Amino acid sequence: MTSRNPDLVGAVLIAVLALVIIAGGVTTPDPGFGVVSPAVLPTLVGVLMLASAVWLAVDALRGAPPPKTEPIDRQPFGYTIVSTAAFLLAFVPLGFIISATAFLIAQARILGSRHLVRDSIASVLFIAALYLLFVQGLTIPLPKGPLPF
Amino acid sequence: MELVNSLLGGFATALTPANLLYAGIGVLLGTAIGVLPGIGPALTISLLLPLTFSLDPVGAFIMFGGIYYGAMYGGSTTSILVNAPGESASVVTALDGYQMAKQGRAGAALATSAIGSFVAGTLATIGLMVFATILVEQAVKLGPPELFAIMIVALSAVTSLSGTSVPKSVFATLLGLGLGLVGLDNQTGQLRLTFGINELEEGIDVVLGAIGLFALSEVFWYAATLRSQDEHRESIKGPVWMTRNEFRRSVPSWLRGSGIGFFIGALPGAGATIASFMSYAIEKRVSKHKAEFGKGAIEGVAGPEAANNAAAGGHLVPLLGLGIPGSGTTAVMLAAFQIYGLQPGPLLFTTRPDLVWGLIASLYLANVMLLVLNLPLVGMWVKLLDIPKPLLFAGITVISAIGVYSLNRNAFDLVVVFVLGVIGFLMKRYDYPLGPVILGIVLGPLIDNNLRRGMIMTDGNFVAMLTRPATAVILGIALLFLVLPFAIRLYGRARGRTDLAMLTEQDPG
Repeated sequence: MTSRNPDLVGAVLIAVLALVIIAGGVTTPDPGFGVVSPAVLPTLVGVLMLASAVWLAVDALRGAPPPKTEPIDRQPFGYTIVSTAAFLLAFVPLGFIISATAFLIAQARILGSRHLVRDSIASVLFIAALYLLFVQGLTIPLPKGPLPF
Repeated sequence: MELVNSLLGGFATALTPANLLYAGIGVLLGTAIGVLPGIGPALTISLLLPLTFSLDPVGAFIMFGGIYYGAMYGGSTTSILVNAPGESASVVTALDGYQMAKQGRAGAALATSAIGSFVAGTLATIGLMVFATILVEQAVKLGPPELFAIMIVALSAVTSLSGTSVPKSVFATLLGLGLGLVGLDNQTGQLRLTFGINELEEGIDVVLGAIGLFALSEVFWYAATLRSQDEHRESIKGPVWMTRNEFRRSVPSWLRGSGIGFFIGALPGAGATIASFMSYAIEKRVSKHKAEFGKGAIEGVAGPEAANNAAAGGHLVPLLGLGIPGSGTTAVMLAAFQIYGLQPGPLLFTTRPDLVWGLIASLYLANVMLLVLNLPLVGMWVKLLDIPKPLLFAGITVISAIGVYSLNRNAFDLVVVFVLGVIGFLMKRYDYPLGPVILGIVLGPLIDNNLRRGMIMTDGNFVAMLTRPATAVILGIALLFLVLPFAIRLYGRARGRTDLAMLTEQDPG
C-alpha cells in the first residue's frame, strides 16, 4: 500500500464499481412502456463513473499529489471494525440490551479507556436510559433477543 | 398582508404547549449533539430522526427546526474552546475563536458567536419567509424539465464546490446517484441495481447514507487516529459578554455575515462552509485591524458565525420553495418529510400551511431559545466535552444502530450501514468529499422521475426538453458551476493564494 499511489488504487476500485453498475444497468428489463427505459439512468451513472475513474487515474499519472495520509493505528482500528461488525450482526438476534451493553464496554476499552468499572456502570445506565426513552417513552420497539423485555 | 397572516397562523401552531415543548427539546438535543466534536448538523438530524417517529408531522418538523438551528449553534462552542471544531462550517470560527480563548477572551468570543447566530438566524428566517413565498409563486409554473434542470444545477454545484479533486467529487456525486437508484423503479415496477438481493428492493434510505458515511466513518476515523488524538481545551474565564468596543466591532460583521450566509446558503450546492470562509475573507479585507486576524480578531468570529447560521436558513429556501435540497443536511430533512409521506415544495404551502408556517414560526422561537441557552448556560454545554472520548464514540455507534433499526426494523439495513461506514472512512481518508454522496442519494430518484416525466411531455425528444427557455437558462447555470472550479484554480494559480483552496474544502453539512 505504501509504495502505491492511493489515487491509482482508488481509480481501479471505482472502475470496478462502475462496471458492476453498468452491468446492473444494462440488464434492467425494459417493460416497453414509457418513453425512457428504467435502464437508462443507472447505465449513464455507471458510464460517467467509469469516466471519473479514468480522469482520476490520468490526474494521478500526470503527477497530481497523492492525498496526505497518516499511518493508521492498526490495532484499535482493526478491533473497532471487527467489534462494530459483530455488534451490528448481533443487534437483532441478541437484542438491543445485551448486544449494546457488551459492545459499549468492549469498544470503550478498544478506544483506550482503562476504567472498566466506570465504563461498565456508565454503559448499563446509558443503555437503560436509551431503552426507557425509546421503548417506554416513544413506543419504538427495539429487538429483545432472548430477554423477556 | 397575506404573509403576516400566514406567519401569525404559524405562530398559533408553534405556540401551543406541545409544540413549544418539541421546539425546546429540539434545540436542547441539537445543541447538545452539535457541541460534540465530529458531529455536524446532517448527522445530528439523522441520529435524532427516530425520536420524532411517534410525533405528528407538525410536531416532528418543529422539533427538526430546533435540532437544525441548535446543531448550528452548538458547533461554534466547540470550535472556540477546543482546537477541533464540531462541524466543518465552524472550522473558520476556530481560526480566531480559539486564539481568543487562549488569550482568556473565550467569553467575548462565545458571546459574539451566540448573539451573531441569533441576529443571523432571525434575519435568515425573515429572508426564508420572503424568498420561499416568492419562489413558491414561480415554482408552480415549473414542469418536470425545469425541476430536472434545477437538480442538475444542485448536483453540479455540489460537485464543483466540494473537495479538492474534481474527479473525486464527480465520483462522490455519482456514487450517491447510484445508491439512490437502487430498488424498485416506481414508474415501471422494475428492480434496478439490486443484483438479486431482495432486501435492496426498498432502496437505500438516505438516513442509512448519513449515518454510515458520517457517524460510523467518524468512529472508525477516531479509532484509526487514536494515538495522534491531541485535544487542548480552553476554559471560559470571566463572564460570557463583550465590552462596548467589542460589541461595536461585531455589529457590522454580524450583518455582513448574515447577508453573505443567507444568499450563499440559498444557492443549491453552496454550503455553510463556503459562506463562512467567504465571510472571513471579506471581514479580513474590510477590517481596520487586519493584523489581528489569525491572532484573535473578534470580527473573524462574528462574521463567519453569523454566516454559517444564516446559511442554515438559506438552505431551507430551495427545500421549502422547490422541494429540492441543496445540501447534505437539507437532503436528510427532505428524507424526513418523505417518511411522513410529505413532499416539500409549492404544493405543501397550500395543502399543509399549518406545517410550513408552523415550522417557520418555530424557527424564530428556536432562535430565541438558543440565545438563552447559549449565553448564560454555555458552561453547561461545555461540560459535555468532559464525556470520556472512548465512551462517547462507542455511544455514537449504539445510537446509530438504534437509528438505523428503527427506520425499517430490518437487520439487513445494519449490514448496509456498516458497509457505508467503511466506504465513508476510506473516502474521508483519501480526500473524497462525502456531502455529494448524501445529496445524490436523495436526488437520484427525483432526477430520474423528472427526466422521464419531462421526456413524456416532449414525446421522447431530449433536445426539445432541454431547449425549453427556462430549462436552457437553468442548465446554463449548471454549466457555469462545472466550469467554476477550473476558473478558481486558474485564479488561485495566478494569484498564488491558498485561501481559495480552503474555500473548496468539503462540506458535509
